[in-house]
Amino acid sequence: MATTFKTLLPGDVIDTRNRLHESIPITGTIVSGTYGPQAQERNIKDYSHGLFQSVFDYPFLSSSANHIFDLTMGYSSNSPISASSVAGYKQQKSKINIYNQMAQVLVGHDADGNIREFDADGDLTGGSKIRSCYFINISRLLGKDEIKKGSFQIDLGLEPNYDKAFSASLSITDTNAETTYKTNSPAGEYGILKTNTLTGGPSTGNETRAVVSASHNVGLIFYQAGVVVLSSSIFHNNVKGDTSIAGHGILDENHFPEMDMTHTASVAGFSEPGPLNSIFRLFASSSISGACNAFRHRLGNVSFNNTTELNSTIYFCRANANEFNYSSNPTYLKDSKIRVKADDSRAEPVSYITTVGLYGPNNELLAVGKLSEPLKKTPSNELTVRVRLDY
Amino acid sequence: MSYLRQFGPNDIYVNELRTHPQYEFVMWNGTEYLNNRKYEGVDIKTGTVNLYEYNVNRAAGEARIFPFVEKGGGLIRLNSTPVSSFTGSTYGSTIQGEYPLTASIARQLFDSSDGLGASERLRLHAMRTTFDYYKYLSPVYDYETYYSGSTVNLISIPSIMFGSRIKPGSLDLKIFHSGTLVGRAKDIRRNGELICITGSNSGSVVGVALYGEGFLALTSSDTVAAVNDTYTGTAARVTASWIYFGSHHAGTNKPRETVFSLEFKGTHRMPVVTMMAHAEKGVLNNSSNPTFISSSASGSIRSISRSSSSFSEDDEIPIKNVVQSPFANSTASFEKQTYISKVGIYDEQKNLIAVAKLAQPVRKKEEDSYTFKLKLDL
Repeated sequence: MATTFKTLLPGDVIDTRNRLHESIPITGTIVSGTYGPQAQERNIKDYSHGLFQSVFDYPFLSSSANHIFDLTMGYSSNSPISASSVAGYKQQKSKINIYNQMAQVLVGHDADGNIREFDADGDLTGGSKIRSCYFINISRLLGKDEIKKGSFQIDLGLEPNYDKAFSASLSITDTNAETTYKTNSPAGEYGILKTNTLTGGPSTGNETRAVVSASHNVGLIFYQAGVVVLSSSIFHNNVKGDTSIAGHGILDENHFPEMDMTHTASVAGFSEPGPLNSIFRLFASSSISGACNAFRHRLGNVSFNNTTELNSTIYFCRANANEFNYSSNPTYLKDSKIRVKADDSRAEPVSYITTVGLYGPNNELLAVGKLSEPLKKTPSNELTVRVRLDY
Repeated sequence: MSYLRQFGPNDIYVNELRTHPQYEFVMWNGTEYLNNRKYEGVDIKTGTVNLYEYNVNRAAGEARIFPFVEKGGGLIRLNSTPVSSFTGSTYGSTIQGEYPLTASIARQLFDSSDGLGASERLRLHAMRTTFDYYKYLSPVYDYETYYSGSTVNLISIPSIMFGSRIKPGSLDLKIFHSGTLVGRAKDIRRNGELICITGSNSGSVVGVALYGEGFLALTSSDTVAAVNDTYTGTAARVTASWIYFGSHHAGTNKPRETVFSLEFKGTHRMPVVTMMAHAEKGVLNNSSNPTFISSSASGSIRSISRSSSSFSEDDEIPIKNVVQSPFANSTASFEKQTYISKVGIYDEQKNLIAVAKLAQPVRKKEEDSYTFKLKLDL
């Protein structure tokens, strides 16, 4: 091994950052349908605390299963859902606690120390608030360092008829988030989720294909935290929704009658108009896991790109013409002659560079970079070996 | 709790935990099985270690998770992308890879008929220095004598399985024919020599193992047993020998009557820091937890008197007596005692950097002395 040291100058060392991405498509059948009937899927893990459920891409008892995301829901104490005096509420305190916990982590507190509510357009000073919502907490395994802005899409089945949920499918995206993302969250950057494309239409009611009238703000996506907040208004129409909630339903009431979410019995005394199992009834009277099951029934494909940041330091190791032309390797000499000169005493000294060692200030070897094949070095050439250290 | 105690020189030590995960490869009819695992979902190939285990149950045609990177000045390239296609692509273009990324054992046969300079033998020649380095273990590592021009059956084991090295003495190679064990070789001397322990060749060296590098080089063409199969990949049946070990992939004429088995243990090293946190007698008998004082006196905590010239707090707040009397309707005599529930580790600047929690709080009286042993895997 050579024992020649050369000090790296400031211009020889630079730090860089690169981004590695993965395309993550999650087909809707993984989330519901592939691994058993609804509420009995072997890839869905419900916990005894009942605060959220975990979704895996394979039966979770298998070592091959990967955790995809956690799913839960909640609503603000300012939501009319929590203020109603209807009998039959379930886990109301837990639902409010979940909303508050998510909100205080993701949107923080106001000047008075009160927990802020999720804001539909990201302008915390006013405007529409998202007061009842689903939360999708994407696992670190898939989200990695952050979700790539502008790459998120989720498809939801909006056909009012429960059995044909995906006859009408609405895609929700964070289009243009690369440039319009928000930074006023304590949890990092976030984008606004907007309604994008409606495919199909309700099979009941009006025969004309229904169109979501405009690009609505229906949720938020927190890129570094890997959390998606989806407003319950997606499943509600303009008229039947609670108009005291800004951004109440988004659907065209002439084409989308109230949505059937669970196919189960109604809650006695609930004053909300519409069919028996509307989204508001679901939020109020269903358990968290029940509401999550209903959501998964209408959850189609999810896709996004994740990002892994690779920090690197690049060392430019320069071998000038008169440097590194000899070797102290025992094989370099034979019979007191330089082996690679082939007995020609007039020939230039030659060495073959195979390895670059990086040393600390006290000359302790810290890292070694190996070349895939040796480089010939003579006094008539110069080399710059680019050594990249990723961490 | 504000009690801070500095670790002494004998309270912290670093040692190494070595684990030896065991692997068993069974090879038959073109397929490997790792540790008897068979079907674990679509797209999980048997006999492999899967790096991420993404796409576990996605059939052909389904959308799959895949990695990609945009070519930039950092020259970050996916390992699965050939260098030529990477260098040929323009900056800003997307370089796409695919999953799964798996690792498994591989077999390569270097035939003596190839000739010394044949390109097929270059890979073997590249290992010359490594073979010769281990000559201090046994003369059968001598490359010039035993490998340079000989027929060599090279089995490669990926390091993701064995870690830092294969554990010496753990190698066990078996050949079964029609369900009967006909050949077996082990490194019984733990010096890398693979020694046949069955049949007429029992005791002879049939190859060597490079423990640190994860290679087995089998050179014996002696007959293992009087059985034959299509080991060469042609219809011709040849007698079983160690140079055919692992030839289960041999073309369309796979040796279907023969099963090969390879067992070994890896070595994984895990540095562990052990810290002894002492709670000696006479200390740690006080707590700043609000529940430590008597509830009847909780209001007096705030009995602070202040004036322009003085500041004083009540210095006689009664401590709650939690000593339980063994007798009914009586109160036990007061003793100072605390319940230790966690141990915090602070750095030199007194920043809390780690917390160890006890499964159950430990009661500590004044005369008690405890040592908590904390282990931290690095």
